[in-house]
Amino acid sequence: MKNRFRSWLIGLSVLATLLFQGFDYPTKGNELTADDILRNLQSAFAKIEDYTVLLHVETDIKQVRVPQMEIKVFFKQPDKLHLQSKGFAMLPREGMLINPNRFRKEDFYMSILGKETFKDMETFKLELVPRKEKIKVRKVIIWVDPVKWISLKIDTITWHGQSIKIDFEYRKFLDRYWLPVKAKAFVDLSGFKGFSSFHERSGWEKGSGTGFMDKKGEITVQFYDYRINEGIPDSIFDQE
Amino acid sequence: MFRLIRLEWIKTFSKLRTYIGFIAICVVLPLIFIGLKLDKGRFLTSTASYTILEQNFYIMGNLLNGFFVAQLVMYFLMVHIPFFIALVAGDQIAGEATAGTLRMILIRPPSRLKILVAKAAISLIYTIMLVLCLAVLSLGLGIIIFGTGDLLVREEGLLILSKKQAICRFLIAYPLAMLGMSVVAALALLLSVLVENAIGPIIGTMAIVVISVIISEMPISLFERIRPFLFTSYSKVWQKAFLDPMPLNDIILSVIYLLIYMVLFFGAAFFIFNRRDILS
Repeated sequence: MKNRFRSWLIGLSVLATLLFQGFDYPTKGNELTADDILRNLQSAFAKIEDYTVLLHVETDIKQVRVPQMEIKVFFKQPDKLHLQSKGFAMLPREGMLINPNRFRKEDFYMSILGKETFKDMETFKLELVPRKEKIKVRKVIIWVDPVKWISLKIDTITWHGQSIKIDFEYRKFLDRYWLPVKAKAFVDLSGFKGFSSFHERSGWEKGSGTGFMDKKGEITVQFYDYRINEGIPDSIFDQE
Repeated sequence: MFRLIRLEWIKTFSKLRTYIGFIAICVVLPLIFIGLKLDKGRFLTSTASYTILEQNFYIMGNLLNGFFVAQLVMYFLMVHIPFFIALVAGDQIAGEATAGTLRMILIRPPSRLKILVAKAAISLIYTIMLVLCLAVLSLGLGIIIFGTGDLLVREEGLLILSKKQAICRFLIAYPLAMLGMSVVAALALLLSVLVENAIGPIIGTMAIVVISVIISEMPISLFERIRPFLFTSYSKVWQKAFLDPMPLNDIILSVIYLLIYMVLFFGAAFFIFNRRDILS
């Protein structure tokens, strides 16, 4: 009777251990905190000391009609950024030029929204909410690749209600560094009225009123001619 | 005919009032440009739309450039240019009548038609010169003070024209503005034929222009049926030169309407002047 009870107890313990292990196994990733994920992103990005890249930007938003743009980007750790363009150019401010260093603990509340499959890959969905109003975004959500520790997708919502969702395509450079080669930004510029405040075209173009859908569109950015860790003088970042 | 035009040119340009328009442009433009320069672009960057753009995008390039300020000046001054045109074109016949020289010039061998054609030609030359002065000064001074760059068009949404496109559009916009203003000159000449007091055509032209602009611009449904018959609905055609894509059909249609108005006003002036009993 005693032996029977003992073997039943052992069996129950084994079952409990197995059950706990079983539950624990698939959620092992959850052991990582949002802070850990961001730290992993930052340490992967820290391998790149500096880079320059040329961007070819095409805009397809009905209410934003700008010529094709070429921008040269200079980046140096930890957060030095300089953009050069011959003519007018505009580039999504948040997310397009990835720098996880700018998401600092003292500036953002961080939390994991769970895991999500994105482009056949299970990713961490990391949410960042600013602690201060001076930060230009209201919310940032990053889909993080847990193998390469890169941002596959970034959603940004600003305080004025505009949103930018950016999908990235990456390539490995110099057999070490994963950097984006193409980014497609889905932009919603609700609230943007344009620059016709002085002279409206009243009655001239019937049906040309600024509709809600006119302010949504895509911005496609192609990154080419990367130069990584070749050294950039600080003087470049002092330029206006 | 050329001799007549030359004589009218001498007469017109020997009057001080002819230069008021040029002086006004030469005084106002530097003032506007200095103001904009000292403002350091806040005029543009403080707008709600620019704030939204800047919050979402890195903005590069010199938007407050010579092309932008020249376009801005065009929007502002094109409202006031008709006054200077009326000042000269409205004085062509009525001024002679007021001075008592009309009968004297009509007893000379050239026909009434030739005299009026010469006066119409001078009115058009003056109009072209005034708009040309605005163009050269605003673009020249603008580029010297603010440099060049892509053109931000004051339009719904965000419309940027490249430097090359901007130059082409200005080359189209200024002649269109000249055409629009030429209709004002034709109207002033018509009113000048009708009266013997030089002030009348000037005030009359401005009154017609102001009322027509109000009817053309006010978003009131009652005015919608009247609008197509007003020349002011078409005289803003130069603004369309900056749109992208350029509404070519609209522009051609507006040009045709403006030419019709010009022919009508000049035609009526010739008709009335030819039949009029000149007593002064």
